[in-house]
Amino acid sequence: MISLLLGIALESASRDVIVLAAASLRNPFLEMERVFEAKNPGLDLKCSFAGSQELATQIVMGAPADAFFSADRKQMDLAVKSGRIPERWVRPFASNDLCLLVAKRAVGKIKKVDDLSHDGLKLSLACDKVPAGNYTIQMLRNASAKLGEVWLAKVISNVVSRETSAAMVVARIEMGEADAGVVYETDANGVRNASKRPIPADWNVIARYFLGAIGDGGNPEGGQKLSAFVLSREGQLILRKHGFSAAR
Amino acid sequence: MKRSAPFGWAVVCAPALLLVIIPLLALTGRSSASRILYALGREETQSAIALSIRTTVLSALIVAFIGLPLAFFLARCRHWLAKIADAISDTPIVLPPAAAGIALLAAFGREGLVGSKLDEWGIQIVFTSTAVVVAQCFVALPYFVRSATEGFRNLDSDTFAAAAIDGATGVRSFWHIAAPQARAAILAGLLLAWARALGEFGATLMFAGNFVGRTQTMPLAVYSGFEGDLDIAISLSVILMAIALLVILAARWVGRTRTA
Repeated sequence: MISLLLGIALESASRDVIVLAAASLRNPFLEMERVFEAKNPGLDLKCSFAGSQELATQIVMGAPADAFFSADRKQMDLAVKSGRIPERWVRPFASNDLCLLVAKRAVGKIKKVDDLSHDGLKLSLACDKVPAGNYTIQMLRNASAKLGEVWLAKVISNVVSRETSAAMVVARIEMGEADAGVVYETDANGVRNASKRPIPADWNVIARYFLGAIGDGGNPEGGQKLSAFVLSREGQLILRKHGFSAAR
Repeated sequence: MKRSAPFGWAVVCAPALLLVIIPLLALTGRSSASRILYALGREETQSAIALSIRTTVLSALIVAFIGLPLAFFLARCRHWLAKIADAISDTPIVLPPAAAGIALLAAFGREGLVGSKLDEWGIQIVFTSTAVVVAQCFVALPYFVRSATEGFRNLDSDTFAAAAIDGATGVRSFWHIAAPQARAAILAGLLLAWARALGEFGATLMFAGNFVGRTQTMPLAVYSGFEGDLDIAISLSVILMAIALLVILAARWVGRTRTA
């Protein structure tokens, strides 16, 4: 009887596929989950969305997980270095551009990146510990090559909040607490109370997303199956639908 | 039978005590003097500690200032309104801090109920040290009010009545009789409120943000350290734990010296 119960418990546990995915992947992955589970009736995806660095820390500290979808290479490398993700399983699977997100109240004042230095603006950026924050700083540095160091210093002095994910930056702007911020193109779609402004291509930084199945979790096969699905035509179409570009 | 009783008690009490003791010991075990010194040497840590001290002292004073009259009213008034006010002032204790943060944004945010008016006058609270103080006051107020109310309830009614006969007005009898008599409870409440303000995390993160030097208090630095420099996170946690222990002991001691 006990062994029977144990058997059921083990079996049902092995059917879960625990997915750690960057916060910006939430929408496509919720759709991915439905399609993937319909195609693989035995498998049940359990997705956890957070900043990639937070997820990488969880993996390094031994959290149970079967696949990692990171918004940058650096966090993926940390997970690989911990020995839990075999290097040969790591693949780029999508990319995402940065854009400006401007609150409705400030659309008149902020038309392009140059305007971020205006006095009295309140900017919300992702903090430098997360990929979105790193990309943002790189982008601002690229821009300062043309707009100048003084411009950059003024932009930095306008920053009132450093958030732990691009998704939190969106929330700050949507609530009207910040005038503008730098977020992923995909985050900026359909935000109420705000509009999107493009960042010139020669300044923009492309976020490259990497996936990797985890070798020592409860269900490495499930993790690999999901990785294959994300890379498949069908998975890529879902990503495209939510504004992601192909891996570059 | 007699001899086994203490042993029996030890066994049944152990789970609860161990639940508290083990994590505290484990936290200390993760740390070391040299790591704490290293963490204390970091500018990020120093500014978090300085900000925490500044904001919590201010919060405790504000809470005492606005909380004293309320506590006095709650203790002396038998009206049904007092019961409702009592329940309202206790609400922040059970409100999840993240919900408190959203509620504060809805009230004092730039597009909030009160905040939009303040914004017209050029006053902005969110993302400033003021927001840190507001969040701390919000969560700490009930701890002070509870303790002080208890103190006022235990007042010697005779002296109070005598004072009234002598013609002492409300304010006078409050300052000269009620406040001194309830001093111990007020002080204990002040300590608990200060400690609660010092530990405030969720509402501050949502409402004030997490900005080094401006809104990153010690608990927020612990959170940020968890993603960056684990030594800082652990060291600050040890310091906060030590302060928590001291405050609990001090609050007990203050309460005892008066009632004894």
